[in-house]
Amino acid sequence: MYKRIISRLDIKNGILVKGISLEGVRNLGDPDFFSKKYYDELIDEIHFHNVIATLYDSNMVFEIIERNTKKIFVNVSVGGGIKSLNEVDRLLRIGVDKVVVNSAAVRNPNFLKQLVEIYGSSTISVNIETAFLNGKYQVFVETGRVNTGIELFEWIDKVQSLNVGEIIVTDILSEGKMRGFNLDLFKQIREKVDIQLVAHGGAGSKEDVLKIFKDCNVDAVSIASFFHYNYLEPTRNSELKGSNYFIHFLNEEEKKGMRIIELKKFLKSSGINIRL
Amino acid sequence: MSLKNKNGLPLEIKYCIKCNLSNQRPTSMNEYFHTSGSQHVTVEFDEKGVCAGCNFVEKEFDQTINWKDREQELIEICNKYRKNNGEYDCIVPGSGGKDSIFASHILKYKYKMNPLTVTWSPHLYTDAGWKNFQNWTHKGGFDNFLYTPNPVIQRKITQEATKNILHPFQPFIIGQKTFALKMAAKFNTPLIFYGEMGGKGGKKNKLTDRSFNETKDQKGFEIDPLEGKKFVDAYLGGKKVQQYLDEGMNLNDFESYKPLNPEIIESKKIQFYYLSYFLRWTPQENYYYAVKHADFLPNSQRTDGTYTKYVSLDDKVDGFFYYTSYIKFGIGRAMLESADEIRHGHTTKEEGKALIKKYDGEYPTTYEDDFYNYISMKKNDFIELCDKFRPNHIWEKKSNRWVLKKTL
Repeated sequence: MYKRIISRLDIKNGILVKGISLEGVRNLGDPDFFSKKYYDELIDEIHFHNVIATLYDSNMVFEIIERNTKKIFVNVSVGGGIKSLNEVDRLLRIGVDKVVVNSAAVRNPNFLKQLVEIYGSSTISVNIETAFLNGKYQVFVETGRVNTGIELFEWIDKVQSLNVGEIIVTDILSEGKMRGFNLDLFKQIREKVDIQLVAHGGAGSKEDVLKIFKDCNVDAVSIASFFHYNYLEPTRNSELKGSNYFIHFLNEEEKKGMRIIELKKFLKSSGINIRL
Repeated sequence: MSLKNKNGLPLEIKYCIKCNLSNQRPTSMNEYFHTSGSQHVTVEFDEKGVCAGCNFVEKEFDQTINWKDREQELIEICNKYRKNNGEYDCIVPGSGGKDSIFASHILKYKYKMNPLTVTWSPHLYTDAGWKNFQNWTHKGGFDNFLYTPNPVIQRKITQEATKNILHPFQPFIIGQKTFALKMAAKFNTPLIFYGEMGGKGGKKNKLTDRSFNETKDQKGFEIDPLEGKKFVDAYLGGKKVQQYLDEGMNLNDFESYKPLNPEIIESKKIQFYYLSYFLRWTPQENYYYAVKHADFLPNSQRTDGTYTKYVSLDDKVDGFFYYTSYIKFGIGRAMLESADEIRHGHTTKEEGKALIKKYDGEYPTTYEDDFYNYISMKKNDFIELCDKFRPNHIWEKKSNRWVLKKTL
């Protein structure tokens, strides 16, 4: 089976944003610009995440998703604030391939069970946000803002037992820093789970990505900053605000990141089974 | 002229049409004369209903300010003060939060200054706060002077400040200001860089106010906060210093809080600047900068009373500072923080509103035991005390619950 490279687009109010450790909403611009680039450059899957949606009780950004599923012909997954069957229904009808849940699943595992029964394992993915705190990995909800106190591996067991097809694990402390994945964490998880495991949080070099595939045998990696900052262009015509002003003054040396095609070629040449 | 209550709060409550901030928001005052009867100066609203904070920040991002010229001014000041003889050439006060990391780091590494960072200890360090303080110097690479005022005295003043003016954070506010000045005098380093201009939060600043002593009338940062009076006639925690002395404490107990003699400021030519006058200052961008350059750690969870993880998180008393502000002005932490993010374009007015409805006024449970222990008060007594400070134009009791009379 191919290993997948997923790009994650955190969306807030129609804008692509990117934080660090699930905090901060730096404004990177138009999500359509990025999704188009990523599709053209052979991404395997795009994950649109309606970030901090649970904080605002905001509605899913259906328009963006619908626009994108019409012109992007790779797998599209969508998450962030999903808490009803209606929303899931609507997303699947507008062409979404996979629905990602976190807060609602933790608060009500029955909801998760229902989702899997109705839509099938391969359609439902669970995003698990975790941080190592007071001697153990704990599960967070609401974009890393609320510590549930639930122990990570207990929750993973529960999720597996409900026949969920995939888990996306976000290591909060690594997320957005581009300093490598938490290998120790993903090794431990891999030993426990047979279902699809997606590592999220920390990609900052091609070696980081190679390492997490080799050392932890994850099925996919989810990447945001490492791609976003490569494709980012100064949006000179856009209105200058505090939230985007860094783009206007971004110099080349700060443009860290990599093209998707280059990353995929590198991984393939390093022996990872990647679709090109 | 709108009508005001006995503390100077406008009787008609308004919310800013852009950022949701309430017009009850007080700006800084001279804390040395802050008593229960003091008059607050609140944030001004223009005729359209826009608060001074929004109008101020807007000017930072339209074409009003030439930021290249502003940076040039900074470079000239740095060139004038920079020392190459091994001594410090500027003081950067801070806690190791995102803002002081940004200020000290950019001054040292981009503008090649030799800062001494100075820290007035929080009342009670949080774990995250202590880690960040350590990371600031360890990762950022700074000399730091950490000053801990006698905690027994600070507790005493905090108790009084809570009882008299429901302001448990006041000792910190007083102490940190005068401390930076004293350090500048002590090290013969007559240049202090503060971070953010009060104007960004709605204080009556002009866009051209670049330092405290060039604009002599800065409320809350007076060159002579004693206003010509004797220290014993000033107030700490809403209580006269003389009264503490009458009760058996001695003058040395209050040395940390005694302002620097204005004649020394004059003779040593101590200058203070706001870095945000020279460099475009976006609080959230400082978070990114601080993570990158000093491994700044946000809170592990959202902070009580709000949705953020990156703002003001080093002092266990902090949550009660915001909570008491909610009692006295009807303004909670989520309102203040979302207003700031709205002004800088991170958040929309509607999102802000949802956040305020969800979090504003949330009672800070995380460190409540530490807090009550610190001020030697029982929770029930504190809650009862709070009720005495609820202005009746802001609050009413409905079915035995306090509610805001006019909500957003």
